[in-house]
Amino acid sequence: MRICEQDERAIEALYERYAGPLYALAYQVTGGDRFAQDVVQEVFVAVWKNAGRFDPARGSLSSWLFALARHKAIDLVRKEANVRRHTTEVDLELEEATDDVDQEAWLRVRRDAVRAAMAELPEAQRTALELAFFGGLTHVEVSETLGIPLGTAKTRIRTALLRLRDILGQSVAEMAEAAR
Amino acid sequence: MRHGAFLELAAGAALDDLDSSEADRLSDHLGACPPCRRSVTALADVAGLMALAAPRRRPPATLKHDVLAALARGVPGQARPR
Repeated sequence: MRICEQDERAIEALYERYAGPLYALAYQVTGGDRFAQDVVQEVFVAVWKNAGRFDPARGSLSSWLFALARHKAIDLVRKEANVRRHTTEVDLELEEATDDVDQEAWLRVRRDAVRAAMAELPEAQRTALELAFFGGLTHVEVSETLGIPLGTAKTRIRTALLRLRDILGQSVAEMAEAAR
Repeated sequence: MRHGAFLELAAGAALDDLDSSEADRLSDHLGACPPCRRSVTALADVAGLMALAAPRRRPPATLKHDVLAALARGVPGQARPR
């Protein structure tokens, strides 16, 4: 990976490809533009400094970037008391940009596939998974928010991700790989 | 512990939501279970793809400059004054 050699053009290319979806993820978790910008910036600095830590055996490059962004966004949410917290719902359809920001085909194809797969999940599982993933809630918080036992919350969240893997099937590796 | 339970732990790991005892149990198991190691990778990729389901948003044009400036400094700063 050329980023390991701190090649500026490589990091710029990475920015062009991933800044949009990383920003969208960070915005969804933190609920704020400034916070989302901070998260994106921290992700690229972390990649710049720690590219050698990327291990392809643990998932694709894109998965690593999104995991970093989500982790940093959740950290920020927990540190900043004034950041809006998602509570009873995480609506992925609200406030979506209607311009051409998403004209890149690779992104659109994957987003459509993932959203279709998520729509196939039982509602209780989908709600728990979205609260955990996009709301940044721990399984304890999901349990409290939904008024369900802790074990049930854990099982719903984790079973939902496993089910999503089954629905997406072989295309998971293909889509994640091609997103590099 | 049944095998399916380790898959659930692998899903928890992909979501960065394991407690320390769960993380230890999964780590011990992965050393001896190549299929579960593959599941951990696949579930990390599922979580990565799930990120793409977030509503589309366009980052401000100034962000690229801020990111490149932060890289030049070697430290992240706030994107813009709050």
